[in-house]
Amino acid sequence: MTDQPDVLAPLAQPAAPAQSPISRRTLLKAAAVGVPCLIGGGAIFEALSALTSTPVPTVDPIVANYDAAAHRWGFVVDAVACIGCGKCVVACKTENGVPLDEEHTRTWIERRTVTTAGAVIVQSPEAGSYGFEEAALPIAAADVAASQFVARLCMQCELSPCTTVCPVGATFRAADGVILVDETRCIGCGYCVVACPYGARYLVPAGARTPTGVAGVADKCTFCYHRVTRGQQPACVEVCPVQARKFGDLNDPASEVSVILRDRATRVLRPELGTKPRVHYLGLEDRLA
Amino acid sequence: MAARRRSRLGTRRRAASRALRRFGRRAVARTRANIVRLRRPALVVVGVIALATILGVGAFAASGFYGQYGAPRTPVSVRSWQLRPASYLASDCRGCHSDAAAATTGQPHARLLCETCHVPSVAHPGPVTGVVQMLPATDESDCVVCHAALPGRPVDFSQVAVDVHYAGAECLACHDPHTSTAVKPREVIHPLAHLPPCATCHTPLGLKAYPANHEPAPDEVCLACHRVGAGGS
Repeated sequence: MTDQPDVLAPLAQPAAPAQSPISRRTLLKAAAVGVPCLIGGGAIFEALSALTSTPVPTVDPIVANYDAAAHRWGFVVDAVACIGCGKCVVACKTENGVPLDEEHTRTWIERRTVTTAGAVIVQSPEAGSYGFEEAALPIAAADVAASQFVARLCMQCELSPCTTVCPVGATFRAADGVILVDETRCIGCGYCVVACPYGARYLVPAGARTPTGVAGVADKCTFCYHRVTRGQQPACVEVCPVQARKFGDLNDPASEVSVILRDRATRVLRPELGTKPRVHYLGLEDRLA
Repeated sequence: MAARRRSRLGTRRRAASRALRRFGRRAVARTRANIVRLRRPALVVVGVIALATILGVGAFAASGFYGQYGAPRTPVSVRSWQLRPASYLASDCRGCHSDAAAATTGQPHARLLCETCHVPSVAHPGPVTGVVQMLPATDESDCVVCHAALPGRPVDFSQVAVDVHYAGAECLACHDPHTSTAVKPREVIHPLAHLPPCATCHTPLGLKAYPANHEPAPDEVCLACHRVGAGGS
């Protein structure tokens, strides 16, 4: 056998399929019959299920009777008007069932103070829920160069790091620009919490108050999505006694936020990150931005 | 394993040499070329059909908004936005509460939502028929939360230094939160140089009765509002 000529070697290969239990011919026949059957069966199944179940909403699957693509929500915080009363924080926690502590909050108020020496002091006692009356500045009044209340919330970035890092697609952007968390899909890995450069996210702690009834998942400001999709304003905007928070549709050129963004100088927090926030600030001091 | 492969190879070679003996070298080579020629297109066709099947079934199985919001979401997964009730209703409170409405008209607090100070109106006792219960009213801390003088607060915003402005007195003793106007307590220029406790003389039926809405109180409560001018201690 060892002295077989080389010419026989290639013959060994084509002979192999003959030993397979299913011949090529059988496979091709089966495919020719089976594939149309699969496709046809799928089509019949689809037609049947379309007949028996409610049709999938084509415009917006998130909330019924709401066309997300028709809106582009924008938010303006007037840092000059804000008095730091904390009504917005209380309203948010009440409206959304957010835990009442400082670390787990969807919105909060900071008092940013810059000293004459140039140091910046940021305070947010109890997330600003009860105002700042108890929070004394650690410096003398004469050393205050500028001080301002800055309301904070999720920036609903157009280029959002949180949606980028989510490994399971639980956090996503609706067509109206609002970034939401699907609590049934979130695995609570916390990547988005770490990725957010604005600290706007937290993991819901186990306890009585859970915004979506689930602990251990990521949570954040949704612009009160359950309200805005029904034509209401976010709770924080409603209760603000000095109208420091403004919310509206940027698709509507007559809305207050559109007018402000068109006519006045606004700025966003940390523009250098290129996240393109949808929350804009009016009258934010240069030294405190 | 290696031994088995060797023996299989041996079998193939024996088969090949049998074919060579039976059909001749040229015929075998021709058959082999035909097989190779046939096999490639057949594989491509099978591959295309398989891919079409997978994509076709996927397209049927996935919902219409696949790709728009990532992987398909079920109605169950979006229930938190659909079912959560609003607490702050921004209702037309002033439609029924005409007294409060009249008081706030033209006043600084006219632009406030009632729910900013009162509790969210979802707690309102239903459609208002018959006996109407007031929502829990505001308390003192709700005044200072906005109106205490603080660093950082806009300078043109109405604010008071709480340790100077009638320190210790209750805001609501003088101020009506709806009108925001204050009834300024009378400043006293007392005839006596060295005053005994106020309640010595000022009793409901005493020398100089105080108004019916006052209750007997220690001096510091009286003096918190009634500044004693010249002649007083």
